[in-house]
Amino acid sequence: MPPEPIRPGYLTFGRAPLSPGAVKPTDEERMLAVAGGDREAFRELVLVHEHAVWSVAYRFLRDAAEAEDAAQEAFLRIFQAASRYRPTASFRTYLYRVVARICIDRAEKKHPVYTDMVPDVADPSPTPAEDLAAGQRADLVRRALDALPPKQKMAVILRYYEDLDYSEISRVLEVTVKAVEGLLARARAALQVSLAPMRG
Amino acid sequence: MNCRSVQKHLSAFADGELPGFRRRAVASHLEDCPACRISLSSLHDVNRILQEDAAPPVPEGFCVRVLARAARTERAPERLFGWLLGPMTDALGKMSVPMRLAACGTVLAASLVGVLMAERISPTGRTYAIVVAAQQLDGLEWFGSAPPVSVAAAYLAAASVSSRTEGDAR
Repeated sequence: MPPEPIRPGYLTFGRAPLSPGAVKPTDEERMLAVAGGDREAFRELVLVHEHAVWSVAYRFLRDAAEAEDAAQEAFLRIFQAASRYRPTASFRTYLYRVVARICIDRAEKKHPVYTDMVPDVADPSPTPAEDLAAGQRADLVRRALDALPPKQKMAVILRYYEDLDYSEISRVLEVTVKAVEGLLARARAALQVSLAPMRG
Repeated sequence: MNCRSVQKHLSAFADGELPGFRRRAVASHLEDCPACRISLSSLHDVNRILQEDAAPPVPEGFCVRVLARAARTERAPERLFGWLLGPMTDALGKMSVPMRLAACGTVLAASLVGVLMAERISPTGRTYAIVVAAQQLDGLEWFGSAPPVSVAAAYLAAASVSSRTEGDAR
């Protein structure tokens, strides 16, 4: 496959602009540059991946301040571990693994009681009909996701928002592909119930 | 395939993640089973609903704040013994797993030898008796208060041995 030509407006961050047709560095090459003390390479990595890291952290933690802190921590860990980084797996997988671990650790430190089943007790929150009102659909989705155990929730986020395949999710969560299949199947079973009022 | 086993694989089927033979088996079952088709449709609905939920954009200045935090960690004072531990952890990071194990084993063995050696030269038993005997020697009383583990005590021990050797020679 021919190398991807640099697109117009590519961020050069104070370096000499790359010549037309120059090959864009890969994330793995950028990480090796960061290990060599190249701060611009780190800045490029942050700019390229900030959306993915922020999105995962925000969807998981549901609090903007905590999500920002978790996302910053993910990039910092990568920065600090740059000298130990070996490009044996894709950088994207490595990055998702770091942010997923931070989020899951934070969730587990809060010691909530998670259950695989949707509670069937009376819920004091608005009724399903009220939930369907404009502006509340998103809240219902968030509550449904928040009711999932941390690993199921992360698997859902990685699959349905970040579009990772099962194999990549298994490397991120450090479980088998079969386990990912199980996590997603259980998560969807719970979501089918909790999102039932929204289905047409 | 019956409904029960199809339901088990339906989520992976909906995600296009089933291997060929199983995917064909599930697809074949779905052609004849309206109930499982409804379940599949329900899974697709869940995906659609999830994807309606957009994450807010990245907070403005996020990158700048990350870079500032990274710069602070670079300038932060080295941790205790960082001058030693930093290069050591870097060196370990570059080694293969067997080499790391070998390095850790060597450090442990060296520590063990150190502990055993310390045991042999500790001021207990025979060594302590030599120190006490040496304190009786003329001119060395002023070392009497020397703690057992000290250069002075070591000197006393050496003097004691030397004195005994001279006595034996006479």
